[in-house]
Amino acid sequence: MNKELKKLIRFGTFAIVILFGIDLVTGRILGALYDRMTVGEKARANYFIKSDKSEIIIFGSSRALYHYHSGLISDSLKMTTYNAGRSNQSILYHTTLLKCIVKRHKPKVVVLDLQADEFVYNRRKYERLSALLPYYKLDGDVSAIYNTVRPGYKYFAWSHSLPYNSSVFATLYRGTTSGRDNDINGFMIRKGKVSSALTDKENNCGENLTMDSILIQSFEDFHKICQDANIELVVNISPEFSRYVCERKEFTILKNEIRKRGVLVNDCTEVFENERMFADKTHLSLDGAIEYSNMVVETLKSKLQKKPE
Amino acid sequence: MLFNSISFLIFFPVVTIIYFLIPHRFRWLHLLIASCVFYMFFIPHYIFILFITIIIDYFAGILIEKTSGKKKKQYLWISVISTILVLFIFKYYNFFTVNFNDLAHLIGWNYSIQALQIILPIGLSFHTFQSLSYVIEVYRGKQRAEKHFGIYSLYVMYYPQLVAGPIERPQNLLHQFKRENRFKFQNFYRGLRLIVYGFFMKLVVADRLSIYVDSVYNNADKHDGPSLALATFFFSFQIYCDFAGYSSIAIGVSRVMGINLMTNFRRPYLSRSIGEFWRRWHISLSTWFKDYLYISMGGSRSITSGRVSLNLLTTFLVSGLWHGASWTYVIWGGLNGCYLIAENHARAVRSFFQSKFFTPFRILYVFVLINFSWIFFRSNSFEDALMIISRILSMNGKLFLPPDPEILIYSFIGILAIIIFEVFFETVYRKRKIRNHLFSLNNTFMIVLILAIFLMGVFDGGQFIYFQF
Repeated sequence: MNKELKKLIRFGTFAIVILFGIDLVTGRILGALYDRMTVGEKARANYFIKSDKSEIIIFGSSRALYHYHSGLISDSLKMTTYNAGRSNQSILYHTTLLKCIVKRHKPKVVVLDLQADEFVYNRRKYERLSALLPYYKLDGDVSAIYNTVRPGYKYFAWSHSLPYNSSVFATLYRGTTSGRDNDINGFMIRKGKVSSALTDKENNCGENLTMDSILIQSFEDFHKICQDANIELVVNISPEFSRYVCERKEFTILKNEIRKRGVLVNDCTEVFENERMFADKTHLSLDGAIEYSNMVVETLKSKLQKKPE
Repeated sequence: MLFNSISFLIFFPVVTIIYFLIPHRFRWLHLLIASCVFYMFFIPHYIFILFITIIIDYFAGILIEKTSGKKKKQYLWISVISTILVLFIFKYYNFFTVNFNDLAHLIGWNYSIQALQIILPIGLSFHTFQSLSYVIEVYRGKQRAEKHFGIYSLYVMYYPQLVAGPIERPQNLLHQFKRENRFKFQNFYRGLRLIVYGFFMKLVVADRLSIYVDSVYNNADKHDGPSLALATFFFSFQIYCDFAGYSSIAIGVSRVMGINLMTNFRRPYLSRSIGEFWRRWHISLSTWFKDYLYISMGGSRSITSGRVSLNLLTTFLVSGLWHGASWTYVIWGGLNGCYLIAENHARAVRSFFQSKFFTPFRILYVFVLINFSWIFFRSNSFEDALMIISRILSMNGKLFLPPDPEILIYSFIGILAIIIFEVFFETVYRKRKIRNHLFSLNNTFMIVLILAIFLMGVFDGGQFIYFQF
């Protein structure tokens, strides 16, 4: 055999063995640390996916995380409640999470908090789904959904360290330190104060926004899982500190798409006008969260009363 | 096809293995077909535009060589004008119509030209310039006209440098397609090292920084001075790592096959003067402008210093326009030209700061000036650029923190890694201060980079910035 080719084969073999070895060891260490985390959104998601058995579950982005006081809802309805909201996540994440948990536990009620632009195409929504990569090998549904949105990933699924891409430092830090999260059954308090007064916002009427059929399909899947598992589904759009003089097409489309599937949408975007209720333009303060959660409790009570046993 | 795509991960080894398996006489054809496939991954029918340029300059080259005197010059001009016309239609026509219509409106003339609904073919400016370089070199008698149409087509279309350079000269590239290359482990190893470093620059640094830069610059009016200053600082490294990363992969891919492409970047942010920066940044384009425009205008041999300055400014204004059909690019080019003119006029001051003690300060001075010019390069409009500068200078307001602040940690780590690597290459590696254990050091370096790509890379298939040019 050619001398140069021999060198290549020797180098290639060494390189592959060393790289696989390092990848395996790194992946295993990061995986162990990931499971040890007790603080932060990754730890909360980990607990929720693997252990939670609450009767009421809240899904959504940061607007769910900071708006639904799960302690208050739990006390008012005498039903265990968990807030599984996660910043920057979309319906793709919520559907995957619901698919994961119904296999081991069926909640009675699911509250899904959507954003006005929930069905608008944005490639970042797909990228952020990588938050579920640590569960790629553990759950077939996670891998199936992830493969749909990022078909190329399956070629790299052999890697043990890739699932922890972009969360190395959080994993190393949180996994080696102990502590308790300051959440209340997943709910977090948003600190801050709105400085400006409530004014009409005219410049965001979404004429050029593209709707994403994958996101709409994902909502349909979410709805179907609830129907199949006999879970009461409540869809809310929570309050915001902005008013629009023009119609937001993406918002109208969102509501129409949900109603088309026979689901009622509770549009609460304009229920609060007092700036005390808000920590910023899109998130409620603790006062706002308490007030809003009380409203949600009333909605849930009427839903649960109507529901046959 | 993007270098950072799954398709390329399959394409590259397949093309390379076949290249070494087939007899030498078929290799040009193999590479040409591979280059066509590579290009057609973007917009397939745009390959015909490339063919037009190839056909024009192929025949022009032969005719220029055959003739002499006035006729020779005529053929050169026909070739240059028709090649640039293609570039003008696709890249500058709409820019021209917008400015023409604005001007007509300003003088109260009720006339407007319709804009064209076309997409700019990827890498058009690169292969246009490479093609022009060939006819000019044939005209100057420094290169023989290539009679083999297939090899000439491959010179323009060679896939590693087709869409974003390095812009090669015929003297460096054409003969390499005719030389029989045998597989050499050393070529493979060096190529692989460049590829891995290129991917590190692109995926770990450039694409990570782009998250912050895009969110700030695309909503510049909503951000305050500190955020805009940080985004500008990040952009300096983003554009460097994006483009130098691409060049490194291109050179590495070609090196594996035994074909050497010219160096395109040589640690530009370690330059001690603006002149040095332009000898280290996008070298293939800088030398192109120097050889074919600046020197053609008289260069630095012009009689008056005013004329030299005018030559410099014109070269940089055209270079700015080459980057994009927008006034922000022209201003960016003009600004860099002004820097150089000012530097040329301040030779006495420069010689005072020659000592090694001042080196860090000189590097910093170049970085700050170049950083300032990037504001125009990255801004979406001239008005945006002015607003960003005024906000940065006032430095009022809050620093924007992304929803996931870990992005900033990765961004700073990426920048720090690049600075350490560049300083190490410049001061230790390049000067061959390490001789022992070089192979082990290189291997460890590659393993660290691969692991960093896996753990910190951004895999969103982000485009390379220079593709748009």
